[in-house]
Amino acid sequence: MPLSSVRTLLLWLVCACLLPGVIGAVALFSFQYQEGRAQLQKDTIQTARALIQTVDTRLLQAQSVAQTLSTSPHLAMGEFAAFHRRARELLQTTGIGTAITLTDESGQQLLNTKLDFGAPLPPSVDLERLHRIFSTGQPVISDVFIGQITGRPLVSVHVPVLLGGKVVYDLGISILSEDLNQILRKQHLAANWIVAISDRTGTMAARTHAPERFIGKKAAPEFIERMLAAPEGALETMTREGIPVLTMYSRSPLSGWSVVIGIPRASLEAQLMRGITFLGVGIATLFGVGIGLAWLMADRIAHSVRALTAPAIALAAGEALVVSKVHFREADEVAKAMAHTAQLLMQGTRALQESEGRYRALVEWSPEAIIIFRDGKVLYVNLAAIEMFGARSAQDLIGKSIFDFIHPDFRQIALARMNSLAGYVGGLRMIEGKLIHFNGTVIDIEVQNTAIVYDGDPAIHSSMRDITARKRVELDMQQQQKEIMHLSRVTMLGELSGALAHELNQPLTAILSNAQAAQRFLAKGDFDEVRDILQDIVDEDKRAGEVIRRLRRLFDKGETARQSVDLNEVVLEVVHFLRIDLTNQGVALTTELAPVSPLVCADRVQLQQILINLVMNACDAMASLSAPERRITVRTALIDECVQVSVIDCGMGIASASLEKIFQPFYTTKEHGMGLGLSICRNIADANGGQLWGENNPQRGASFHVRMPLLVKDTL
Amino acid sequence: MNLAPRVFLVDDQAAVLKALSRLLTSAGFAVTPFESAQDFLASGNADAAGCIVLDLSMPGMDGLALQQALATYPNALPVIFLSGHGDLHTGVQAMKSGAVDFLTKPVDGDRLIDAVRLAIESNCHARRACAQRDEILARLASLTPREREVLYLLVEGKLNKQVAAELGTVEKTIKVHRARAMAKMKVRSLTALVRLVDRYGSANAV
Repeated sequence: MPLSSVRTLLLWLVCACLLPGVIGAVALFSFQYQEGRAQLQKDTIQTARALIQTVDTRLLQAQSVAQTLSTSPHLAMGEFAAFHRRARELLQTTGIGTAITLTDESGQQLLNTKLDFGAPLPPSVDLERLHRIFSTGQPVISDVFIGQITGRPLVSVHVPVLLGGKVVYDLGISILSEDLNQILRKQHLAANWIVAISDRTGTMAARTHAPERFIGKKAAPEFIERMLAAPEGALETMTREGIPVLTMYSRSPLSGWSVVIGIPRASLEAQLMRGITFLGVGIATLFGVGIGLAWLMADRIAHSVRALTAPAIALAAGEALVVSKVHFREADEVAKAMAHTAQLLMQGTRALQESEGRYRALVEWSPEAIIIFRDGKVLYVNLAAIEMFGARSAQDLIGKSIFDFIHPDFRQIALARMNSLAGYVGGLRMIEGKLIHFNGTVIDIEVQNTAIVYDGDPAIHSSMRDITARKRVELDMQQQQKEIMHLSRVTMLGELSGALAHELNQPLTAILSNAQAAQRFLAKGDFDEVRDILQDIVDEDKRAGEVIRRLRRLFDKGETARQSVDLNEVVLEVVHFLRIDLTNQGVALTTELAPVSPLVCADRVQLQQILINLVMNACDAMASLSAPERRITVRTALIDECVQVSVIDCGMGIASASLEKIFQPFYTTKEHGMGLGLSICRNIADANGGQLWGENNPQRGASFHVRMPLLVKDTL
Repeated sequence: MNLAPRVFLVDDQAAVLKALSRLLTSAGFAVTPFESAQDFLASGNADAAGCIVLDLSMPGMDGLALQQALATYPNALPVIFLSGHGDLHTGVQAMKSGAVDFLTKPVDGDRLIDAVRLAIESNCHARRACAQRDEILARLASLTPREREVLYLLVEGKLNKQVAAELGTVEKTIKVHRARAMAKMKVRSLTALVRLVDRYGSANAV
């Protein structure tokens, strides 16, 4: 879809803004017109009503004059000449009508003021009316008729003349249609209005326009029909001349006469056209001005926006910005923002260049060997890497496969790590590995790999550190550690020598005594006894041998072997081993063993060594107590997922400040101690995955605990 | 009470106990072994004739403790200690408390047998001397108070006359008391009487 220009959009905007107004104005105008028309009809009908009342008044005036005249004594006396004179005087003074007539029941005029008294009179033409007056005795207003004497259209008002309660004559006053026309003329109605007065039958009694042509003529029959249907109304009709008019009429309920007002439709429509023209011109002017202004503004906006195009291109190209004049604030703000961005971009570019330079220098001169490679091919090496591999220059390495330099033992791992970095940005934790030097020797390294983007494509950044020397030191240290452990065991041997001597002394004593007894029995020839003795000597000798073997096991400088060990068994072995020494020192040792054999993965001999140390320390701690108070409890218990061996004494306890110090090498509270026992014990516990700590008992004495993770059978 | 001398052996090590008891049996001693000091005390042989060979270190009651318990008996068995380690301090303490000998394990058979023999002999002597003293004390006990007064004054070397004067009586009466006391003490001469009373007859012993 093609994009619209600002100009089009603004024009649409103007239209959108004006249209509701225009529709509103048209609707309002139309409503006003309708209202005006309705109001006009109402006003006109009222005018008609007022007119018909005036006509009524005129006719009633005539009626009341006639009634007054009917009571004239001249009539009662039958003095018609005097009455004729009197009537003529009355007509002259009041101007109420043009003639007064007196007619008897047969329809013969007896008197007519138009004619001199005594002149021959025509008979009355309207016998029907005559009959109504004589039968009802009520006044009657005639329809329009042509006077027999004057030959002009007339209207007459008739009243009965009563003599002795009986209707004897009909007294009539004739009024010229022109008189009624006078009523219309006096109203100063609009010149183009066609106003007419009609009688009960729709015959026109007066008319403002061309009365000579239409008075006495009937109105159009359909109009008469409509008029008879309702006392008042409005309808569109044609005049007798053929002018289309809007007609309003009002009929008098009193006389049944009507006033009809016709407003030519042409005049009304001219008014409407004038309104429509004004409205049209107004709307057109509004649109013209709006569109003109929008056009002007669209030009300025388009210009301002186009003025930003060149700077934007310059910004993208990193060139200096020149912004030509813009015409509105938003564009100005964008221009300023672009100028600011350009400045930042320039600074950023500079910083980036500096940073890149710094990074290059850092990488190039980093003490750690750095290699960047992709798909196993070396892309970059720094100076430290060249040195580490023993290459002459970077060219010896670049382009080669990285796997050529990785020790075969680590190629699998290296490949797995590279795969895990594929399609991923981030680093992998540091691992140890081995590389092959250019001269074929093996280098121990620590390596850390990071996925990076190099020259636009993913690559791997490897940071390596030569730890060959450190490894050697670590190995030395491990060796030394082993030596120290052995030394500690030898030291313990010294401390245990008393107990060992005693342990060996028992079988030796038995053997010697048995042997000497045997000599005596032999001298006496008692061979049976000698046989028993020899068996006992063999047994005792075996026992001594077992003691020696156990000793040798304990003090062997062998490799440690971690295996499944039952801690309860270890405790019992140690107790057995030390029992004589404990007896000599007057110490009572009790064991509280876990009901289920607690298996741990550890070196049996090392665990024995720890326990021997702890029990002997406990004995030393109670040296100042009297013999019956010297009690040691050795307890094994399952706690969480661990098994805990506790050696609990009731000696003096440990000063709380020393609770951790006692595990430091060469810290001792004993006169002859080297201060190595507990520190080595803790090392051994750590090496076997356990913990060793000491604490004071709530009552008296101290406890030492070794906690080892419980061996789950499946993991063995 | 069996008066034939016996050797009582106390050692917590069954094998050692058996071997030692064989050795001493082969040397002709009657041996009674015990595995603990308490067992021995319970057997009621503390003042039997013979000797006791006692291991120094034992669980529960050790050798020294048993020696102290024995010391409360007037006619206790002589003690020969056997020790696993020749601890000088313990040895001195044991000897001070009246041990006959202190031997270290492993012990040479002849030395042990000699020590046992010597101990039994000394026990024999002691028991004999003890019996003699009991006899003389019994004789002394049979004297009347007057006879005892006369006897002590004579032993002090006073003449009959002097005794009579001191006791406020006549010489003839003293002579009668003296003859009766001599007869009761079963001595013929005044010298023998003096020796007897000098050895056992201290006044508080009566």
